[in-house]
Amino acid sequence: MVASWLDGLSREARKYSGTSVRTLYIGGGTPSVLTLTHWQELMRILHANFGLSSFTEATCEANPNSLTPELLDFLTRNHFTRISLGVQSLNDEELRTLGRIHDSRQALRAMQLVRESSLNLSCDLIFAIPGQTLRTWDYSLRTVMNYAGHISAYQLTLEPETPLARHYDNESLNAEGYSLYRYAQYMLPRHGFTQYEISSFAPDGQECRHNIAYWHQENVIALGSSAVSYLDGVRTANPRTLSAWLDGEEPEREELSPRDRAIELAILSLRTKWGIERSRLLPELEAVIASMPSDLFVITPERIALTQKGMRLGNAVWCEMLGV
Amino acid sequence: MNNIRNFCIIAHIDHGKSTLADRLLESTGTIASRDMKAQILDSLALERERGITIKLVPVRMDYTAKDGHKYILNLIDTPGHVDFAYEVSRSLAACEGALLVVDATQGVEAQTVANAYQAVEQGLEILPVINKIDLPSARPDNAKQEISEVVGIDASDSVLASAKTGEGVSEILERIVRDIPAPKGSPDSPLQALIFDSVYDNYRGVICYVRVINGRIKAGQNIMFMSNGITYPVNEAGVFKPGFTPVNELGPGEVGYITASIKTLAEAQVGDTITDANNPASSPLPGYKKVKSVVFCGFYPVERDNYPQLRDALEKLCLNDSAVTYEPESSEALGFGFRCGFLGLLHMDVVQERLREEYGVELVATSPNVIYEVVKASGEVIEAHRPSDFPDASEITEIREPYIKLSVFMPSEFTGRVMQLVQDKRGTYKSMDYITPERVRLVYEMPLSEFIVDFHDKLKSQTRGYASLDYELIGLRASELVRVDILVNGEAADAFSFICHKDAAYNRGHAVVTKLKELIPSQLFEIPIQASIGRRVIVRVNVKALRKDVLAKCYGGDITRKRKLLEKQKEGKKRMKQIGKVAIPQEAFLAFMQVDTGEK
Repeated sequence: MVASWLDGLSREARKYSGTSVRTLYIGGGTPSVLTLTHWQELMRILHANFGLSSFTEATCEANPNSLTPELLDFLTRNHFTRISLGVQSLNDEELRTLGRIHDSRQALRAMQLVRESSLNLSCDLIFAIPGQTLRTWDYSLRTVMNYAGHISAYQLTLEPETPLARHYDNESLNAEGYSLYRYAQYMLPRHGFTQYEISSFAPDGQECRHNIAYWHQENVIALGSSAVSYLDGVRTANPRTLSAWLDGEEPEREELSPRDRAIELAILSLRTKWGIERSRLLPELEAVIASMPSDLFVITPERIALTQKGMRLGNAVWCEMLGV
Repeated sequence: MNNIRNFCIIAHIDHGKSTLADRLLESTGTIASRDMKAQILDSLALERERGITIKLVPVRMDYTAKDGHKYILNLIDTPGHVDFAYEVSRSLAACEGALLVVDATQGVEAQTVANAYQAVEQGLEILPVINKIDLPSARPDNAKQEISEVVGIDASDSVLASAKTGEGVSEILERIVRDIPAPKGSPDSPLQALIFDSVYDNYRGVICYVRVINGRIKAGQNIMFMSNGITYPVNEAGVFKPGFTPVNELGPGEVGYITASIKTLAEAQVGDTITDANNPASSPLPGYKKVKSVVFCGFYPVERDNYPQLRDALEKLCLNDSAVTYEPESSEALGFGFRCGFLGLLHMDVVQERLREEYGVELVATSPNVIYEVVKASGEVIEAHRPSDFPDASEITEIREPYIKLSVFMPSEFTGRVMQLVQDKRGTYKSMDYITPERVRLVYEMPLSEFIVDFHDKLKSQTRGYASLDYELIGLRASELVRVDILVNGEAADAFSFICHKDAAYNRGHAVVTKLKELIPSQLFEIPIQASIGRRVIVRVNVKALRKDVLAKCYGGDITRKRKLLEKQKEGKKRMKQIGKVAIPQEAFLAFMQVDTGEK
């Protein structure tokens, strides 16, 4: 199975052969299913097609229960710089509610492992979990802060037909999540973690370069099933199932009009603390922004960015901007 | 002519009018019992369901009395509801006598009195019939006493009957022949025929149901409608056997129908007089008036695309119900529809039901309202249908609204509650009398506008269904009414403004702004919602600003997904009505209109 996946990946990588890349991100379920032999093959494919020597950042996603010292060792030797660990919470009750297979003890052990390596650690945390309190949230944040140099805080989003969705709805979670998110916005910067994007906190200089590429609408090559690439205004989405992708089914292609690109760029850029350059902002969008309450934006002669409050209300702001 | 008897049956709902009519038809052999569908006179589904008659269907019976003579008995059924008071009066005018049917277990009810008085006023001979005497709870003596005391008609000679078992039916037939006078009239005078109903037939055009008072009418004759001077040659004259049966001619005292390829009901209106175009009568029969809508509401198609179907259905429906009026209007919440006028609430329900049943149109109806008369400072008087028709408060000298006289009959234990209910609805006490020690009649005057909004339902629940009511319009009266405007974020939202008594303005204003607060989603800024009279704000609430919106991660593939999600959200917002900077969802308009989707 993995062998044919690697074949597919190799075939797909060849389409982009010769492109030089700056950042690498290996995510999805990949890291936990590959043996070290597979890893070696994967790296060989990547090296063969892309100028990997020039990259500035390489991240590997991992779950606390599948991260091994051997993998860490391999990644270090292969010039990886970051591990993104799906901690989610350090409260066992909350982890059970989320249906995670790891517990807080495994999460702590995994964080400890990464700290003992030379890799930077980024941790994902989830808020608005049913039963979560400000106290348990504070504990998760505080603990993770001791190990990680980067924190991503996501609100729990219920997918339809999942067990949780039967008992809760996004709207009530949204109401619950308000104070928790606000607390993260208050507390993390006091400990050096600046909010540089809606969900991302890090000391200056430790931001995730790879993610910033998305928000700045830079070109991204994505390999594997359900991976989405963006190259010069064209977004291509690979088939969602592994079998369809292996069968070589064509990706879905979406060409953005210059106008849509500009709107999308504005929306994506506004996610970040740097915001958008006013020179690149459509005049209509600037007008919409001017019609909204002024405490949502930081406006300088060169740029427009969201305030903390603006970030909390991002969806509503973008909704207005989509209407132009 | 001496062998003709024209009569009708008047009764309160459920007192057995239709069953008795069926029994008369059966006894006279007009319809064999095996052919009889129960209550054949009530043909509309809604009539059957509610046990009430709306549309008149006359029938002619041949009867050989005990005196050996053959008689023609014409039964003219009357609508059993106050909405159709005018039609009732025209039916009565076509008769010489009336059976007053009273339920032996219930006694006299509100409509019994109203209809009996109308019959007396028209000079009809009243024949009291105490029905349902087969029931164990029957108290015929009490019923007789109530007829004598409450209606004021001698009931000692009443026929005791059971339409269900047939008991007393032959006595009723004999008494009709004996007590109800034969019609009078001259065959040689110029034609005068009263239209007491008219229906529309797809093949024959309008069919006029007529009672000939003087003269004769036959096929080929040129007739004229006296209210409008329109003339037609008669195609066919006939009688109700039942079923349309052509005859050579209709003479004085006779009840029958004519057809003349008349295209619209508006040309042949109930109450009008038909005369001979070549030899017209000097004057029409008394009592004709144009019926006027008193209750209005909006009809909108459930699916906006179905507007043309609704329009066609209304057009067709009006061919056989000329009392319905309609004109196009549009609503922020419901799109295009029609503002329709009716004789009353029941009439409104009937029309709604017919649109649904006969024309397959699914519609929503807005809460009913009335027409106001506004006297302006300039002395000019205008009719106001909607709050937006009202001039600025400073220009108004007086506002008048339609009033009704309301009679409620009920067991005395409910008196207190009903008085409270009527007073809450701005009713003014007129009188109260005990029909029997256990039963009370309350008479109030109250605004029609208060009556048409949920009064029936409240009365029913307050009296567990034991009360009956009757009302009549008594004209316009000055009221201390105000227009309450609703401001959303400082901008007037016309769809939410309403007219009410000044004492109710605060409470209703409060209810509306509170409801809007629930229904208007939080937006980027705080939104004040105010109720005001003129420039004076009487209630204010705030919709708090949004505090947080769902924040999801957004990388690679999420971007398209995210955009689609936002677009969906945006689409939802587009469907909302924008008032100033605020988007108001459709539910808010619907909630305010108290829209009835027809589910009962």
